[in-house]
Amino acid sequence: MKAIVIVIAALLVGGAAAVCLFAPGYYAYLLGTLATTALVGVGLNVLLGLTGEVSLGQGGFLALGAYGVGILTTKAGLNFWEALPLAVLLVAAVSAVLSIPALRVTGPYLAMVTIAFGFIVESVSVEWRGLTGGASGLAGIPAPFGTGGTALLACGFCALALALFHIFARSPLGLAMQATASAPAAARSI
Amino acid sequence: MSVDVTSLIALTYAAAALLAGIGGILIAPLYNVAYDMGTLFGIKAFAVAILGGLTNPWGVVIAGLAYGLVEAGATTWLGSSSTQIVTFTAVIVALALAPSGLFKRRTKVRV
Repeated sequence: MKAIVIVIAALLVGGAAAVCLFAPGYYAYLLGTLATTALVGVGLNVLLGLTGEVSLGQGGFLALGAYGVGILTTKAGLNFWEALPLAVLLVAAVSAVLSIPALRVTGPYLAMVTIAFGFIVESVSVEWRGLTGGASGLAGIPAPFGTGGTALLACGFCALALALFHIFARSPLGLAMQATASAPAAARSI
Repeated sequence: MSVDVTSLIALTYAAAALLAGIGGILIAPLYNVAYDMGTLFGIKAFAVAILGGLTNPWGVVIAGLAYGLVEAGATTWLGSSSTQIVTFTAVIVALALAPSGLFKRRTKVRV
């Protein structure tokens, strides 16, 4: 069993690396898009999969990360690796603020709070033209590597997120979240 | 006496769709009709229903009026570019202060 997992993992790593580095650029772009989407999905699954609560504003956080790196590299002149931790801090700070109302509501009420957050991010990014480029957006964001290398980086982050999710779901906190999803009253009483 | 759950749900859905359709008929002369106009109105309607407390139809009416006033006020005094930012921020703040809507009828959850 263990050996099969290792073999499959090695094949996946080898396949991803081969596609990113040797196949035509479009395939690397596709794989990078796939890995990025899966990465957001893993993040959403922490909430939706473990606690059963719905967030419809996940795109807002994706946009914040993207605009964070975009603005820091094109306007502030940082390189990708300097912008990365700052953008993560930005998203963490905004989500900490959003958690104040989000922690008070559940079910459709939480869905509404997250939809509203998504719309606010969208409106701000369209209207704040000086910073975000308005409806035409930001172009010319420097990539850390070429297309293949960047796609491989996305695959790496995706694999890391999946591994962390796997560990987290079995940790005491992860199990507590799953208990909350299936029986809130019982989970509260433990 | 048994309740036919499936047809009741179908009937409820039909009633909701009918009311939304009437809303669309009334909106058409006021706004330009466009392919993507439904999303925002749908989200606003959801916001108002949530703010009203979902179980209280009069609460939804009052929440709808309040939402409209906030929207019109934001557009008048702060400009139309800030309308959605102000109204959706107001929705989040209102839900933070009243986590189950502004006018929810008290229901007891039995454990």
